[in-house]
Amino acid sequence: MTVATITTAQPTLRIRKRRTRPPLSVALGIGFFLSIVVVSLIGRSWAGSPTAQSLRETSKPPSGAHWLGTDALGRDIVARVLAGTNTAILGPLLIAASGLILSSLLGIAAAYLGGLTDTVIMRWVDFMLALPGLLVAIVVVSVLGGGYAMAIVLLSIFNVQGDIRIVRGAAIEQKPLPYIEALRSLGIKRRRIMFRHILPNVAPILVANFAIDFALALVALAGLSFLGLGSEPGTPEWGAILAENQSILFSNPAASLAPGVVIILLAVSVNLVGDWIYDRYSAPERLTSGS
Amino acid sequence: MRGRGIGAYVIRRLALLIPIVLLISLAVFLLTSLIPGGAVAALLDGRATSDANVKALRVKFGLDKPLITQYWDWLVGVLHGDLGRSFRTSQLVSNSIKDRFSLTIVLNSIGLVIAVVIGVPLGTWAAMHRGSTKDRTVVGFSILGSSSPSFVAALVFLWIFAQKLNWFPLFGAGDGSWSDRLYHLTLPGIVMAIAPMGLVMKITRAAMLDQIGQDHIAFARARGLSERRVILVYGLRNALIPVLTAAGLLFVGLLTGTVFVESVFGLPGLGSLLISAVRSSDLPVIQGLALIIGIWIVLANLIIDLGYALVDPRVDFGRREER
Amino acid sequence: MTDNDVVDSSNVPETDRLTESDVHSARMSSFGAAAPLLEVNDLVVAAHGSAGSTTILSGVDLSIRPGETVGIVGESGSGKSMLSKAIVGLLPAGVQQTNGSITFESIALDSLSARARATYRGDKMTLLFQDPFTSLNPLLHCGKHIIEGLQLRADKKLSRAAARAAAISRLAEVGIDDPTVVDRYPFQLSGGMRQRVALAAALAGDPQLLLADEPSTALDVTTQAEILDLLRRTQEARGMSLILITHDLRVAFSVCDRVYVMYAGSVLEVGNARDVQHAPLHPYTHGLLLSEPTARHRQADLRSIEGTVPRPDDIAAQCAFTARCRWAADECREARPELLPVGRERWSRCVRLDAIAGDLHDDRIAFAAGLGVAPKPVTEVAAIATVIDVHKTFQVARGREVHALRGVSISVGRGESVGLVGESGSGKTTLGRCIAGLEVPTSGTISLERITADGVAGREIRPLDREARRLVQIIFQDPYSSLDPRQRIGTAIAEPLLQMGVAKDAANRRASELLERVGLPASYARRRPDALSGGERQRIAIARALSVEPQLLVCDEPVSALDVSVQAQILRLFRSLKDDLGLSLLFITHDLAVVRQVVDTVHILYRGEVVESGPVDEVMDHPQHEYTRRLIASIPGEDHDIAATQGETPV
Repeated sequence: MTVATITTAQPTLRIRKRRTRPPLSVALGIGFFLSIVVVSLIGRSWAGSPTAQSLRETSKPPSGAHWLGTDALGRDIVARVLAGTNTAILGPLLIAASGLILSSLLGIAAAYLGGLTDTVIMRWVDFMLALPGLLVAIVVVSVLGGGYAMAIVLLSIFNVQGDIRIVRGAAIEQKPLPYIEALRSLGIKRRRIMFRHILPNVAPILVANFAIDFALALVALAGLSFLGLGSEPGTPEWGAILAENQSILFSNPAASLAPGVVIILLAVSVNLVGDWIYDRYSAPERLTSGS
Repeated sequence: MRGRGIGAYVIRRLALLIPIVLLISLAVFLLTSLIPGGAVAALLDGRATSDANVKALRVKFGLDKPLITQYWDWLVGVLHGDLGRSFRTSQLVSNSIKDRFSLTIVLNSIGLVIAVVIGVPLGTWAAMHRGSTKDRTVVGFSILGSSSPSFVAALVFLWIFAQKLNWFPLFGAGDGSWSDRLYHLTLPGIVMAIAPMGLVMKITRAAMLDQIGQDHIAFARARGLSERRVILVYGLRNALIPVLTAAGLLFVGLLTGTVFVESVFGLPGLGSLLISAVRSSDLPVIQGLALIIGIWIVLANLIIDLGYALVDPRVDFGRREER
Repeated sequence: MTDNDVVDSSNVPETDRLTESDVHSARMSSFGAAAPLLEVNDLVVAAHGSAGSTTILSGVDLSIRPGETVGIVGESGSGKSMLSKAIVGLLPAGVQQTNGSITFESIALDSLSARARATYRGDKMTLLFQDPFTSLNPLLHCGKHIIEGLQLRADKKLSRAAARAAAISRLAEVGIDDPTVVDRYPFQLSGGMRQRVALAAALAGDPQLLLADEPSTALDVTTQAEILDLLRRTQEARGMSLILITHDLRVAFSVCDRVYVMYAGSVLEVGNARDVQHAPLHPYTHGLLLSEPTARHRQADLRSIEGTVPRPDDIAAQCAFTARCRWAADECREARPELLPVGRERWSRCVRLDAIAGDLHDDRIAFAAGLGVAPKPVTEVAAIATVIDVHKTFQVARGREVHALRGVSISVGRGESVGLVGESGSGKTTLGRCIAGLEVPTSGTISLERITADGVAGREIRPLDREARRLVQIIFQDPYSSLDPRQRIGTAIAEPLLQMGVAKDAANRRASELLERVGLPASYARRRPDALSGGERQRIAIARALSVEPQLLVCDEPVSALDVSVQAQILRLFRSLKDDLGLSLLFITHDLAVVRQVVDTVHILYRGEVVESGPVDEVMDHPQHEYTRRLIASIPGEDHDIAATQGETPV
């Protein structure tokens, strides 16, 4: 099934459905994301313990036993990176999911109900968007504590506004369309119009937002743990591992950069998907001839 | 009609600084009150000490007074340019900020300039070649850029350009001479630009694609105008409006990037000051920085709105048409 | 400019047959004495996608002489716009010319590089677009649009003052005498003014050939007439060639010397405007002419062409019109007919030309006999909707107010069909929306049967809730966005019933009945909107509106987005809903021909006020208000109407 729904239904000329199949890059993105999910489910047992130290083998270069070598405490880098997968995807998933739910509720409500509801929601959105959410999270988590959970809550709060603005924009295009007005005069209930008619028609935008949120949250959470905030020292989180191994950047760059590379790869693969959907939806290939 | 409103508009917007500053400072003070054990706990940061000492410290930093009084004192101080003293170093917060301010400004400016100067033309170029390899390459770069956290990019660039190629210094902000400073800030500046550049490319490309499909472009071509004029005056000028809309995100993104870049490159700027302040719960410094960042954001948004008016004749000061 | 003799219209040829040799010499010598300015030969244009290629134009021939005005007439899907884009060399990405040639002053344009081709735009040929709201750069002064055209080639550098003066005089050429327009932005001007500015910009390079793609379609009726008149006058004054692309035969006949009729990517008929108008040779042209409702008489017989336009690829090896042609025979399906000359400057692609000529003639006579039936006399009936002194004021930015309605009072009787006629800004749509409950009047009363809903500003009408609202249903102009693209047809029709508590089975059964009521098979219930034509969608919108058993149907320009050949199907449906179901209709339209065909009583709105009301025949035959007279005078080509078949001389 195609995701884009804007078609020229003139019985004339339609060269749509041109790119219904995702391009290779997007397929690779989906593949990489799924493999990370699989690794997070089964990878730990297979890669060995992330905390096992071997004091004779500190800061070793890559070898058969330790594919990327070991860190300054003699822990296997591969094992630590794999162990970090769980937390790496859980937080972004929660943040993106909260964005999805809140933005579809508030974005559509702001667009459809308009008036004071819209004004209040959008003022709040504009205000929050102007704030550097990650900096606020840095300050609050470090001053108040609360760790990873607190970080997720804060980033969720700051993530949702961008989504609301986009969803509202898409929904506001639907609102004056005749089909919505016809539903109004047919006496269909408001809630049904908003969530059974407008929502499905802006759904591709929601999916794209989800993907892009995921990538942003992944980077933000990794940033917090890179600064040593949000988790206990020594926890195998990608950002924290990256910070731990900053010292071996020049001696064993592969090991030092590995968690960073994984972050980038995962963010790229998710962004590819989101960008593709967004591009298709917002700029559908349309071609009409005649009047 | 347009020129007349501009002075009043700027004043009105600057007046907005006052409530925003109040709001931010209040938020930070409330945050303080939420700390388990209060500000003194933050001040002591886990060190054991005698009750008498605690009392002395309380008096020294004014923590013995009620919260509302503390807030008032702080506000009065702000009006006199006094942001209080650091819990840790006992230095004047205003001095620490003054010392480090220029570095952060320079870093942000380098990042902004690179992001715009490279991002806008590349995004335009990609849109003009939609679907081609050129386009896909630019889109790929933009996705890679916006997916790269600044701390990872900083490490990668350090390894490649500072260590392997030895083009740039590894660490620090230089000896203070103008040229040495620029030499030290170039690599961090480039790292700062990476993620914002991805955003700029993406938005420019989307906005240009939107424009390219418009009748006014086709009509301009049909009238025989040069392709250069069509792209620049008819396409890009219109496409800049959505790019300006995204500029707010750009400023915020750069500011956030500063924190990581300064800490990886060991640069004494506001970002590294913030990190050291939060690590040691140095509340006066955090408050001071929050204030500066708030003002920074208000001014950035003012500049963006003036930019709108410059580009778009439909903007009437005081009200941006909802589009 | 001296070539005007080639468009000598004094010798209007009859449709006499030519000999075989005449046929060949005529084909070779391309129409007349003077060399053509532009010649298109066997042009094939196709769109390429990963799924293969789709033909848009399948072998189009066209030629235009210096100083000539040629009309290209076609409905949506005919490829007429793509033809104009191909001529100026601005085909959209993914669409290419795959065969044939385009020759301008003996230079083969299609063999030129893109860069060389671009030098032909501006001072040799240019294309004027339909929508003046989108075709000007919103960030550029109007004057700048003209000046950049004046300075197209490097040798024409002008000083600032000279450029400004030139722009002002160019604006005067298109009838804008106000010099301050030079310094205004497009968004500060009305649609008609913008189109004038666009025309001045298009003419700035002094092109030899102007192509105008539906230049008046996006404008109001009275403005339309002005723009067409302006085009005709500038063409004459400049001795320029003009290609007018339009869906409206009447417009083409009133402006053009010769007319090309296009259908599904092919040219089906070519001839002098008068010949085509009085004696169409192709069944499609014939059908199209008779489909066009007239504003002059009420027609007993509303003609339409059944079916929809096929895709060019599906009819590659047969006559394009076969599937919808009353006279189609086996020979029509054997091969794609050639465009053959049938008289001086007359060409047709119909293979059964001789066999059906008599039939076509008889059909026209029969049709003309059915004109001028009197509508049902307006009798006093109980009012189903009464509007008393309704005002509606919209707040726009910065406390500015727009008074859309200034004290309007009308009433719609049971089983009556009432027309609201006016141009944009007349308030006709606002009034319809107020009656349908989509808008709340600022003051005044709207009563629906016994239920009165006093408008209270700022609050949505919720009079005794949904029940009252369901009494009135509304049909919109754009059939493509009238249906939720994600919903199946059956679900869309059944949804309001389910909401009212009807059981699922009963609702589905009712949906099938309603589909059949509007002339569609019940099997359509399982379809999704994207596969349907505009006419079909409009029928479904009507079926959905009928589901809640309304008493009044507000129809907001319900056929103006449809092709002429299917408009009549929908108008007939409205007539039958009124006659058979006793439904009241409120027709909101700018189209006086539609009004004449389906309306009993008409109200003329102008700037939020009713300026004239009365039975439709009285108002249209004896207009009292000056504005009504202006509206009627602006109907394009109405003086060339179908009755001319019977010997009336066109003006």
